[in-house]
Amino acid sequence: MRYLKLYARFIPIYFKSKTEHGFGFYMDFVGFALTHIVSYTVIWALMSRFQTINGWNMYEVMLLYTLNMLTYAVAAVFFFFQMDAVEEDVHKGSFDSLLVKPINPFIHMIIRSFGHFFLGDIVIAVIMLTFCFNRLDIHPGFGSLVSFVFMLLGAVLVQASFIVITGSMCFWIVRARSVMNIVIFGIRGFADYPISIYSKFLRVILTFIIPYGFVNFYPSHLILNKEGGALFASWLPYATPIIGLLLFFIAYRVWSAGLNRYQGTGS
Amino acid sequence: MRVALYREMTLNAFRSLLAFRAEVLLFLFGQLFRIFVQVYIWYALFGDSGQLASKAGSVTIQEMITYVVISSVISVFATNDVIFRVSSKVSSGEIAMDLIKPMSFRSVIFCQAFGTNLYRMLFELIPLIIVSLLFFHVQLPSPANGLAFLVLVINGLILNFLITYTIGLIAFWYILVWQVNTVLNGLIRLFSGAFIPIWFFSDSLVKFSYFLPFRLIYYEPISVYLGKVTGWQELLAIFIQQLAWMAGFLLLQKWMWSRAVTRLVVQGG
Repeated sequence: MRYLKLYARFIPIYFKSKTEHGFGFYMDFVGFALTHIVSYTVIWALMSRFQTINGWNMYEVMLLYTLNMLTYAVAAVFFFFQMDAVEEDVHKGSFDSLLVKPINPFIHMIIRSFGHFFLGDIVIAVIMLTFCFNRLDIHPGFGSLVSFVFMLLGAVLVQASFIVITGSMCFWIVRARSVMNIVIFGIRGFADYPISIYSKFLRVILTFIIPYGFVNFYPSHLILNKEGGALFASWLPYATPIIGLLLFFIAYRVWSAGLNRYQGTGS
Repeated sequence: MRVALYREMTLNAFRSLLAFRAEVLLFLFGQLFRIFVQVYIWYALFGDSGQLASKAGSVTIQEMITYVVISSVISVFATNDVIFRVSSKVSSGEIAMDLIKPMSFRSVIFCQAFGTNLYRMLFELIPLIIVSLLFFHVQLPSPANGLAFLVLVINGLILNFLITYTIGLIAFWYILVWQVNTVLNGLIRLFSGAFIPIWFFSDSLVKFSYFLPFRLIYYEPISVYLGKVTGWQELLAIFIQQLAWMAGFLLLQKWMWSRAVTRLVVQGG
C-alpha cells in the first residue's frame, strides 16, 4: 500500500520531466510504432508467398510476434529503463543513494522511473491482438479469456526476469549492457517465429534453459487449439505462470546476490 | 600529402574502436543469432522439397542459405552509425572542429566510417565467416561472378554511405535522428532483399522495390554471386543504376550541404 502511494507520487514527476521535451517525446512513439509496422510487413510479405510455416499460418505467426512484443512491453515499462539506470548508477557510484532509503532497493528501483516508451507498443499490440483474433475467428469465452490472461502474466514475468537477471550482471562485470542487449534483442528474436521450426537442441534450450518459448509459443496453444503442436508435453502450455514465478524468484535472488556484492566506489 | 591525411583519419577511427570490444561482441552474436533464425525459417519454408520456384527460376535450399550468409556479411559493412555521427557533431557543435580541417566534412565522415569497417573486417567478418563455414554449406561463386559481385558490393556500400550521410544532414534542420534512422532501417529491411530475396516478393512489392535504391546494396550483388544474373547487359544495367543513384545522392548532399552551412551557428568554441 505504502509503495502504491509512493508510486502515485513518483510517476507524475517522471512524466513532467519527460513532456518538457515536447515534440521529441511524441516522436519516440512514432519511431517505435514504425519498427513494428515494418516487422508485420515482413511477416506479411513472407507468409503471403509461402502460406504456412511449419503448420502456422500468417495470422498465427503475427499473433506470436504480437504476444512476444506485448509481454515484453509490459515488462519493459517497469524494468527496462530502471535496470539500465542501475548500471549507470553502479558505474558512477551513485547507486548508494538507493541503498540508504527506507525502502527495499528493488521496489525503489522499479518505481523511480517509468518506461513510457513502451506504452505505444502496448497499444499496437492490443490492436494487432484483436485483429489476429478476428482473422483467426477466435472468440474466447470468459473462462478461457481469464486463463489466457493468467498465462500472459506468467509470460510477462518471464520477460521481466530476463531484464532483471541480465541487468544485474552490472554488479559483476563492467559492460553488462551488452549482455542485456544480446539476450533481449538477440535471443528473444528466436521467439518471433514458432520455436518448433528450430533444431531439437535449440528447442530444448528455448523451453528449459532460456525459456523464451513461454512468452508466446506455449501460451498461444491454449487459444489456437493446435493439434499435437505443443512440444515435449501437452501440459507445458499450462505451466507458463509457474515458470514465470520461478524465473522471477531466481531473478530476485540474482539481484540480491548482486546487491550483496556491490561496494560503492567510496565517493 | 592528401593520402596521408586520409590514412591518419581512418586509422584514428580504427584505434578508438579498439576500446569497445564489448559492442563488437554484441554485434557478432546478434548477427549469428539472426543467421540461425533465418536459416531455420528457410528450412521450415522449403519443407521437404529441396527447391522452390521463384521469379529467378528455381532456388535450392543451399542457395538460400548462401544468400542468408552473404547478406549478413554485407550487413557487417552496411550497418553504420553515419547518421548518428553527423547529427551528434551538429548538435554538439563539434562540427566546427571538422570544418577547420583541411578536408571536406564528407571525407572526414567517410574516413571514420571506413576505419570502422576495417576494424569490423578483423573482429566481426572473420569470426562470422568461420562460424558460417562450420555450420552451413556455403556455395562459392564462379570466378567471374565473384569478381562482378565484389565490384557491385563495393559500389553498393559507397551508395549506402551516401544515403546515410545525406539523411544524416537532416540534423541541420531537425534533430530526429533515431526516428529517421528507424524509418531508413525499416525500408532497408523490407526493400533491400536483406531478409527476403526480391524473387519471392509479390508483384506489387517488386515494383515498389524497383523505385528504391536499397536492392542495389543487397539483393542485386547477391543475385550475381549466386549466378542468378546472366549476361553482361544485365550486369551493366545494375552497375549503371548504382552509378546513377550515387550521382543523385552526391548532388543532393551537395545541395543540402550548401544550404546547411549557411544556417550553421556554433556558439563559442
